Amino acid sequence: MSRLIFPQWTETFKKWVSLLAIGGPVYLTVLIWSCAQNPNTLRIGYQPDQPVPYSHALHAGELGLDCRYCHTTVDRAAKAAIPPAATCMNCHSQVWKESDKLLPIRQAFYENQPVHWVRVHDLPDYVYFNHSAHTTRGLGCETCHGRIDQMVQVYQHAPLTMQWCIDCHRNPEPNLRKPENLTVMGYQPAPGEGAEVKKQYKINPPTDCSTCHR
Amino acid sequence: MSTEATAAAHGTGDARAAFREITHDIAWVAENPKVPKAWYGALGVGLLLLSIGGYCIYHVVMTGIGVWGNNNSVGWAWDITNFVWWIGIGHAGTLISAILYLMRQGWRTSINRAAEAMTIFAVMCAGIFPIIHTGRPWFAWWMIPHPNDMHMWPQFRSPLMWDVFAISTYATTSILFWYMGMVPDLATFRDRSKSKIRQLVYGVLALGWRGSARQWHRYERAYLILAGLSTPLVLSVHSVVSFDFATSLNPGWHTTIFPPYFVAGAIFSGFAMVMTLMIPARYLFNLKHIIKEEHIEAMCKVTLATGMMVGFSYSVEFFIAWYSGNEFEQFTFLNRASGPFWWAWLSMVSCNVLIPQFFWFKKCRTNPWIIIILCIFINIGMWFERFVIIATSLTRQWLPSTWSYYVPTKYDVGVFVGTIGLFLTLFTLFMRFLPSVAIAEVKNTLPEAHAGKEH
Amino acid sequence: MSSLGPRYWKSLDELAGDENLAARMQNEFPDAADQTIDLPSRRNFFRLMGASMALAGIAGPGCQRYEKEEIVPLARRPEDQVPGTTLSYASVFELGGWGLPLVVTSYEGRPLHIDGNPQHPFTGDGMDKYEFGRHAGVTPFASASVLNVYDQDRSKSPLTHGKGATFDDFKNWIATAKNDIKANGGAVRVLSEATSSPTIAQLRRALTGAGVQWHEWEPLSFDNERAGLKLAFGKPLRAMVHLDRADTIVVLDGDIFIEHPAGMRYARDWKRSRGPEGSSLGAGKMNRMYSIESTFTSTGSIADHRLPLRSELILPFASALDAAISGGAMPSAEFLNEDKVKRFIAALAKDLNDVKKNGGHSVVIAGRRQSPQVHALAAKINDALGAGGVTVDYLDEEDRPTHVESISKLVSDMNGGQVKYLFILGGNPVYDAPADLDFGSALGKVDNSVHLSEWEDETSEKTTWHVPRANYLECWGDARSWDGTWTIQQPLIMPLYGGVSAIELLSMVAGDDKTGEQLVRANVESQGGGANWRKSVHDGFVANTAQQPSAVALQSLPMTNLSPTQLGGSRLKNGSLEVVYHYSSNTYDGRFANNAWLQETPDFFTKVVWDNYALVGPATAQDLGIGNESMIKLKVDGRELDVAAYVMPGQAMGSIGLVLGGGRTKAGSKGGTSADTTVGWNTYKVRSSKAIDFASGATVSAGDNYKFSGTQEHWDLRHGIDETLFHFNEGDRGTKERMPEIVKQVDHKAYVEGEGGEAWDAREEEEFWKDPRGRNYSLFQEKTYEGHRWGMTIDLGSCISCNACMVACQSENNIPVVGKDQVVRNREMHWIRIDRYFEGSPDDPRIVNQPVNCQQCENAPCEQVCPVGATMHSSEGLNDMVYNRCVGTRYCLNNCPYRVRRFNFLDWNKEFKDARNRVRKLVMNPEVTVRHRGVMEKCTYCVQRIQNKKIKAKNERRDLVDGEITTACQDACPTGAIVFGDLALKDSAVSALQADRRSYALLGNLNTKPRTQYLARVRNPNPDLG
Repeated sequence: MSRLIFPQWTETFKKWVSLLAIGGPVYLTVLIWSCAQNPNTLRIGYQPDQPVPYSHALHAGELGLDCRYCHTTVDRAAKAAIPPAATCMNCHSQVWKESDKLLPIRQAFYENQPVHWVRVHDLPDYVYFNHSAHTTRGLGCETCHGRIDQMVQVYQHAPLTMQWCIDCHRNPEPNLRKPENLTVMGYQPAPGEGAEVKKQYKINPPTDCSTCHR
Repeated sequence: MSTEATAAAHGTGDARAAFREITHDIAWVAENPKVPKAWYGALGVGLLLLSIGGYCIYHVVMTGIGVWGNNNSVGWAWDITNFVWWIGIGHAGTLISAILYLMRQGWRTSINRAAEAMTIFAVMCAGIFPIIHTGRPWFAWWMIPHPNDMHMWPQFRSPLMWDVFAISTYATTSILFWYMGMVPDLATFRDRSKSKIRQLVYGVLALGWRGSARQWHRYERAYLILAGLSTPLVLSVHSVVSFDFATSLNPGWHTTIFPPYFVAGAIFSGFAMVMTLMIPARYLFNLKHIIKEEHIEAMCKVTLATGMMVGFSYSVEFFIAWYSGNEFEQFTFLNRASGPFWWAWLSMVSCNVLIPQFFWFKKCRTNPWIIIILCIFINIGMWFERFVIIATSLTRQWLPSTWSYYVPTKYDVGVFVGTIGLFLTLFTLFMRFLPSVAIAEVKNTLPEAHAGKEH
Repeated sequence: MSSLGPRYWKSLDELAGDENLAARMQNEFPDAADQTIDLPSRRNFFRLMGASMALAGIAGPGCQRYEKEEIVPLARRPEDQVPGTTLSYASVFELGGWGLPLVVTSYEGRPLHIDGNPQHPFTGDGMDKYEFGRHAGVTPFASASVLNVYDQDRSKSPLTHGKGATFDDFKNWIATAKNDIKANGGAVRVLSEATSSPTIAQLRRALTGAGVQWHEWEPLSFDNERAGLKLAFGKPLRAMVHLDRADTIVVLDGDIFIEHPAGMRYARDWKRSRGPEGSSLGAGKMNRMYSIESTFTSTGSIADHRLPLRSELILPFASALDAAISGGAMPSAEFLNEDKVKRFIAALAKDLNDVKKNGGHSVVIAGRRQSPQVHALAAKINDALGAGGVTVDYLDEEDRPTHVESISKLVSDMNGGQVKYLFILGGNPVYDAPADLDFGSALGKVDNSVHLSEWEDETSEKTTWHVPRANYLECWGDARSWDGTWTIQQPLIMPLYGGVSAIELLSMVAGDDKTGEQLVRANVESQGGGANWRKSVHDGFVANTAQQPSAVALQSLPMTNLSPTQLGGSRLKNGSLEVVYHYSSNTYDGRFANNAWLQETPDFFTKVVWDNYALVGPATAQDLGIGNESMIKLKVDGRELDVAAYVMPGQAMGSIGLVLGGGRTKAGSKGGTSADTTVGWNTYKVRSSKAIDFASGATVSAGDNYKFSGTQEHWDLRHGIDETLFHFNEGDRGTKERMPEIVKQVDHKAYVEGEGGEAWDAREEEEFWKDPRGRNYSLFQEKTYEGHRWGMTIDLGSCISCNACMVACQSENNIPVVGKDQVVRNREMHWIRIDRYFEGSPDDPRIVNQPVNCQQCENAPCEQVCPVGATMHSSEGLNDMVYNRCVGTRYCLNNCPYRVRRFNFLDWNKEFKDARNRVRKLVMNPEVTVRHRGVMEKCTYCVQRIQNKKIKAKNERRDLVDGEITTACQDACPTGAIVFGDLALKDSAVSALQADRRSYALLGNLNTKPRTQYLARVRNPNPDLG
């Protein structure tokens, strides 16, 4: 009578099977959690090419333009407002007026056709982020956008995940600074400044769903 | 002394014969080269219904719940009705194999294997609905706790979450229990099989079972432990399912009697289904002498008992509604019996309370045809019970302005039919290719197994 | 309450079960699938793949970089434009010849939302006395009109003889025709809609000066009043009523709140004198309203006493009332001797006289459709009651032929071949002109006809030229509000499809090709009494242009002889039935047929959507042997019409209310493009110039069945067994006991003096949850709120069921339209609905309206049961709904006792995925997420407004002011029945109202602790009619 009984060598094989059976799921979970779900692998560092090689490092860094010179509505509206070509032309009608790099800008201005910039910091459409709500509450540009003054080509600095938002909403103090230092780069808040600002402006960020989702 | 003599002296000769006979009879079902036509028929029907169901589910997922009859007042309808019905059917299996085992009910051995199989297939059918009834099934996995970058976890206050855990636990345990019980029999199949493929397949499934004393010892232990584990599940699963309704505040749902009431109902329908399946199987694969008349009769008695529990629950519901003095409750139950869905209520009561009364008579408990018919009625009645609970309560809510009605579409029907197809397909395949009766255990219950004890 | 309490029911079918219902059930429910399933396409297949991959956790939104998205800033941004913010502009919406002042909210250049203008002297007058901010109230029509701007079906280029053409072609044609036009002025005609526009009036003077003849046609006109007051006072006038000064209001067959051009103002004034505690009449005083009408109107639904009476009987009724007040001979009409009518007149006359004796004031208002005699009689009674100058002012009107005379003249001239050029400014005469005139064929006899309209409609087909008209939000114009104030209409957006305005076309015809702005501005600066143009445009009106009351002296009225039916009893035999023409709540007179929002807004009382019908009273229906939803063949002086009957409780005996505005064959993709795709029936087919408002001698024969689609009584079934087994019907069962808890009402007397020695109080349920020591029995621990606690109060006493809140909500919150066949399946999406309950006998019931939106429970049943936490409680007590987290188990819906949650059963926004519908998309409010198929949605108290206002206030380092945040429904409500605010502020309006003893929670005994509370309705019945 022929019967299939597992031969001896399968004994060692069995160990591997059990190892795989137990270790596999653990491994996968860790992998998904630490990598697949991790913003570092997903979003941070996103650095698309722009139609015009505009360098923040030059304008905001070397020339020391204030962020609000271009992003005018950042402290009174939801949107920080990418500047119209007209804003560029304020200077570039005098300087670099011949430069080919600025051709798209001049075109936009004279033909009144918009420039198509590529969005870097892109939240899902069901997230309603309001710049003014943060800039007027003592949150610096740098906190979310990083050292813009050192970026020749802008890239995403922060994860911009819900987790990341909530962490700060639950404990804003470390990130708070006096509103007048809004645009200062590389700013080191004085010890206790956060707590002070929090107290002064009655800052208690809500963590309700409807804070961001409507 | 000749071997025969010894054998005779120890009274084991006919024992071997008897064992061999049983082994042969059961294994023959899987080995018989010419399969009964009826089997092909059943499989064919199963596959047909299954494909219909598949098509309907595809449309539900692609187009939206709107292809069903559900509406702004009736959030749940056939989807959850079917879910609860299948879960209920899935109850008899574990009950028979676990609780009756612990109670040392010998007669269970002939049917427990098939009953467990039925349980697993029923739970599979049930499991489809919680997923496809959601508006966005592709996100149904959000109900499973998993780490994510949103700081979001499921909401554990929701009975639906409890369902997720209760049912997955139940499914896992039942499958383990079922498979472990099969191992020795699979080994038997392996040993008897002629073709290489069968040897390989059964061989792998048998996990190298040799039938040594130690293996038997461990087997018995594990079996006992699993039986102990799954016993509370029999009660917990349907209690949790009933919480879906009991914890809500809708009149007709918001009642404390639901857990026991649902469990009784589940066992009721489960046994009915076992009989609906086993009685034909008995004849088809001539297992009459293994699944004996008294086994069937015993099941009829259980059905009768649980049926009366269910009937009692119905009356209690009405009494409490009246006793509560709450006009919303009172109206709801009055409306069940006399409102738009009176016909559903009527079929529920007649099938679940009146029909089982026939089992008082021995004739009804022994005549296979009568039993089958009664059992089918009971299954229909139990489906209506769930439908009545859901539909009548949701169509006549608190504010009269929101009163509505529910009419199923062909896609409601199609999906339900599809799950029946799945069930039928799996069960026919099981009957053909796996040991449909627990050989080893049946042998255990034979008088011959205990021969020589008197010496 | 005891079983002796009032008996409520929702529909007649329910109160008296109907026979052929079972039969109807069969053919009434086509398989949902048939309409809704799109066959599996490649895209679907890949969606499925994506889905399964998401299930496997490989793909899905969280796990991949977002697709490339662009930011496209304006090359040159205007100063006042801040991206992502809204701006408001004043404008005006003209309907039926009168303007409704508006404030239009625009988002980055797109008009999105429409409210009344609170700064306007007519609608806004003295409002801030009891209300904050922008609650001038707006009609559903004005509110929904914003959708027309983005209607893809609007005509995009001129047509000549049905062939496409360009504007230049048209200009050239005008240029060539110019001399010809100048030459024979008499043969040049203009047919205009009724309009009060001063600029049009000026152009008209110029043209008529050149011999051009001017005609006007409006299917629902207010001519009768002018004619009637001319009878009474010898000069053409219109009545301006001041309900805030009226103790007693008598309305003779009129809808003075929604249909009347001054309705928004009247509603507000009525609310002011309504009370109950304290009103513009003085402390503890409250007006009393009587309505005598043939069909239920909003007026009748909130009147303290309503007498259902055929429209043709109003004349004898009025003269009887006149006789009863100022002595004189009662007309010998039979119905006047019927006990009910007799008692009513007696009590009414007594009441009016008493009021006068006690130095109070009353006013009698005659409805639009009533004959001039009735208006004259009303004036006479008012005069006798000394109403003149107090509760009613008379404003001068220019004398002109009635619309019927005007269009009849035009048609006869057209047939006589005396018309060479016909310019039709808007309107749709081929569809809505009197049937006996047969305008369409007469139009064939005109060599050159030009039709200016927004759509290529029935009339455009038949004219030699069709010219696209700019929507009123796209062009300059003006109009007068009822009080005569000159109101400016300014464009918010360039015409999306080109198109010119009426004034621009007229100036082309006149030969000087001026822009709309030039015309209006020149006119304002010359005629406006030195008004500042910029200021006028900013405010939306020219200051101090309201008309002054004109001095009037009553003349003796000619005796009018009555027709046999007017002398008869109130019950009529088939063959002598009366037909009354009504405006439609869905399409007004048919012009809104292609407006999906309005089409899906349920009628005020029938709750029917996407349809029009013949309203028949229960008794009449019985006489005629027809049931609800049975087709009837209606015959009026020789013309026949097939239409479905809706058996309407309270419809006067022998009167058939025929709703106009259905059966458009060239309205557009929504309102019908051919005879087979019409919405409802063209009831104009039987309307003749001889009986333009109501006709008598109608015959009705029953046909087979039809199915209406309504937002209440979906599939409402009565089953044989109800009547046979239990001898009561569902209307009673269940409703009788619970209605007193759901809708609370009290008589003013009982409210003031209390019942059985103790003061009346609406709040007993809350007590139910307190044990003697005041502890709470609830299982849930009490939530505590540091900051704001948003709450809302809805006053059942002042809801006139005008639907303004529903439409406003729809436009604010991107609420999808689902269509007739989905509404009948009970899948409409409105976040706020107005529940309607009848009370009393079928032939003379009372109506209760109850707006229901999400009650924002503090112990929200929906929150406990969501497995994924898609609906959570906010720290301010809002019941947040997170669409992007919802998986759609619908458990929350099942557990919501108010049934205010709405599920996206199918992809309601599918049409927007179509590239051709780019423009339609523009109406979407970017502040609110557009919901995906398969997710739940509901009212959020306009959380987007709350958040934005909160942020704004905090940016300005200040606290929110009470009333600064308003919900869309609140803004739209003309009577201020909806008040939203912060319960944490002790002195906020809403806190005060919720402390009131009229305030109660709906189903409070469930301990859901709703943040929305209702104010019990206080009625002020006449003791003599008790």
